Amino acid sequence: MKPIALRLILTTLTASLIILSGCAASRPQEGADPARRQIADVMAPEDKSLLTAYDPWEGYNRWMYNFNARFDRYLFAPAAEGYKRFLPQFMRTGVHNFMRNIREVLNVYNALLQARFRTAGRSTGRFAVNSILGLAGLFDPATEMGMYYQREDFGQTLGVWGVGPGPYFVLPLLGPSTVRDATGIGVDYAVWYYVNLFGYREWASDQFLVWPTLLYAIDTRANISFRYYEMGSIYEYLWIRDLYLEFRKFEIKR
Amino acid sequence: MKFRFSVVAAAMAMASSLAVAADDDYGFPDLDGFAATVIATPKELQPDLSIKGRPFRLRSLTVFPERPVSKYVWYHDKLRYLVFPQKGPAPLIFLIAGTGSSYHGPHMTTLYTAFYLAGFHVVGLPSPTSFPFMMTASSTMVPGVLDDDSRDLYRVMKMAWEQQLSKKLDVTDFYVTGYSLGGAQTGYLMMLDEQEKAFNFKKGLMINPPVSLYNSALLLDSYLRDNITTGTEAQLFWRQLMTAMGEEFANTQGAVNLGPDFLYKVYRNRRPNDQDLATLIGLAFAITAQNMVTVADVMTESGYIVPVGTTARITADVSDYFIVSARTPFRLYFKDLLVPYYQRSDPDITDDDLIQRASLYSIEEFLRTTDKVGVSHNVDDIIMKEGEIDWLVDVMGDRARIWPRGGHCGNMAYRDNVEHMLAFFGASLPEGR
Repeated sequence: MKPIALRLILTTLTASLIILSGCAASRPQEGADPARRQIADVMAPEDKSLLTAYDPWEGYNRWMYNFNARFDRYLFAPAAEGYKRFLPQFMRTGVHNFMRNIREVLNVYNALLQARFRTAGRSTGRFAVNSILGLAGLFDPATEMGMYYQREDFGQTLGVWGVGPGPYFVLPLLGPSTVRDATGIGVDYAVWYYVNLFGYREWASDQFLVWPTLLYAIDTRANISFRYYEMGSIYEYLWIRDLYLEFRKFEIKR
Repeated sequence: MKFRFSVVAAAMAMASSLAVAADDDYGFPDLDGFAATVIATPKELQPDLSIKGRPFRLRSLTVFPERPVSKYVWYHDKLRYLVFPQKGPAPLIFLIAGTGSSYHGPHMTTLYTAFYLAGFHVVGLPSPTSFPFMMTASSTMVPGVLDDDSRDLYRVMKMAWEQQLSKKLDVTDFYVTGYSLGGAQTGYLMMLDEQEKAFNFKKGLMINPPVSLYNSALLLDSYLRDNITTGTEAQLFWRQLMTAMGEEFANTQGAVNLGPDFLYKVYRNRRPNDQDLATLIGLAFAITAQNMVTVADVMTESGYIVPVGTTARITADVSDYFIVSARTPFRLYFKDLLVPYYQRSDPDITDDDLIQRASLYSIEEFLRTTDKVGVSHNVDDIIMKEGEIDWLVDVMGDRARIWPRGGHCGNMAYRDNVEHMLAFFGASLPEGR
C-alpha cells in the first residue's frame, strides 16, 4: 500500500470515528405509546445482560459494518465468486498455496514471540519444503508430510501475553476487529514491509494495479464462506460482534 | 472478515456416551435424539455428495412491488432463491427450508447436492419464517399459520416459474420436499396444488415435519427455559460452552472444519449431558424466535417491543430490543403478536383456531387419502410431543418411513436416508456415490 493511500485511510477513519462514535439509541416518535414489553418485564434489576462486549464506538462500528457489507455485496463477493467460477480449481489452489506460503514469515515470527517453538518450527519447515519442493509455494507437499498450516498474527501474540482486546473496532474493508487486533495488523504489516521477503513485497507494489495484492485479497475472500447479512437475524451486528470476540479467544488458545 | 461464521455451528456442540453401533441394521451412530440433532451425520457416513464446479445460480424476485424496501434492511430488498439447473429435460424439485432458515445452510446443501446429482433441476426456497422471506414475500409478516404461509410459498413458486424458470428449464415433472417446518409446508403445498393445479406435483416428501407447530415450539421453548432463566445463568452456560469448545479447538491438529466431524470429536471427548444439549438446541431456536418477534413486531406495527413509529438508524444502539426479544419465547410470539394480528381482520378468531391451522391435523383428511405424499421421520425426534409420531403412522400408513433414531434432522445426510429420499421420487445417486 502506498504511504499516501495509507494516510488518506487513516484520516478518513479518524474523522468518521469522531463523527459517528456517539451512539444514539433508536428514538420512538414523540407521543408514541411505549412498547408493551420492556426491559423491566424480562430482567431483574440485578441480573446481567447477555451482551458483554466492550463497544464504546458502536455508532461508528455499525456504520462501518454496514459500509463493509455494501462493499462486499456489490464488489468484493462478486469478484470472489467470478474468480471461483472462471479460474480452474487447480490454479486457485496454486494461488492459495502461494499466498499462504509467503505469509508463513508472519506465522514464524509470531509463534516465536509467543514462545510456541513447535509451531514456529513447523511453520519454518513448511516454508522450506513448500518453497523448494513445492515450486515457490505453488504446491503444498508439507501438509501431506504432516506439517499443517497454522495462522498466527501479532494480535494473537499480544493476546497470548495477556493483552486484552480493548474496544471492538470494525475496520474499513477488513471487517470485525479490536484495538488490539488492529494494532496487530499494523505491526504485521510493518514486519512484512521491512522484511521484504526475496524482494516480493517491493516487486508486488510495482506491478500494474498492484495486481498481486488484489489477487491476495480475492483469494482470501474466496476462502471465507461468511456473507454479510445472511445470518438470518436482524441483530446480526451484535451476534457477529460477540462471536468474533469469542473466536479470537479460540485462536489465541491454539 | 477473518471471522469464520461456522463458529456458530461449532457453538452448537456438546453431548454423552461413546457412539457404538446399536442392535439393529440401521448404521447411523447410536446417539440419542439430542446428540444426533446437534452433531448430525459424520462425513464418512454420508454418501459422496461432492459436486464439481459451481453449477448454481442465485435468482431474485420482487413479490410485492408496492411494498417499500426498508432503509434499515436494504439487503433484503428482494426474495433470493437458489437454482441448480440441469442441461437437458429433467424433473424439477422445490426445496423448502426449515424454521428461520434461508435457502442455504447444511441441511439445504444436503438436499441440493443429492437431488442435483440424481438428475433433478433443484430450486431452493427460504422458509416463510426466515428474515428475508418475512420482509419480502410473507403476506402477513407474522408467519406461523401453515395454510397462509404455504399460500405465500405457492405464490413465490408460481412467480419464479412463470417469470424466470420456465424460460430456462426444460421440465418433465414437478416435485416438492422440505425438512422440519418446510416438511409440514410440503403437505399443505401438495393439497393446495391439488386444488389449483399450477404444477400438478407428482409427489411430495415431508422430512421430520412437526405435527403441531405450536406443540413443537413450546417444547423448544422449554429446552432453554427449563434450564436457563436469567442472564447470569445464560452467561455461565455460554462461558462453559466456549471454554470447552476453545480447548477442543486448541487441541486439534491440522485444518479444522468446524462441522459435524469436529462436533462428533468434541462429543466423544466431553460427553456432555442431555440437559446441556437441550439448552443448546433451545438457544439456537431462541435466536430464531428473537428475530421473528422483532421483525413481525416492526413490520405489523404492533408496538410490542419496539414502539410504533420508531425510526431506526443504521448506527442506532438496539441492545434493549435485543435483550427483550431474546427473552420472548415463541409462546408469547404466538399469544401477543400472531393472534392479535389475525384478530384485527377477524375479531372472533381464537387461539385454538390458529393452533389448529398451524398443524397437520387440519389437513388430516387429505393426508389420509392422497397417495402422493410421504413422510420420513425419527422415533426420537426431539420436537415431537408424545403420540405425534403414532398419529403420523396412523394417518400416512405405509407412506410413512420412521427411522429408529436420528433426532431432529440429524440423519438427513446419512446414506440410507439419502437413498430412501431419492427412491421415494424414483431416483438414485449415480453409481459409486
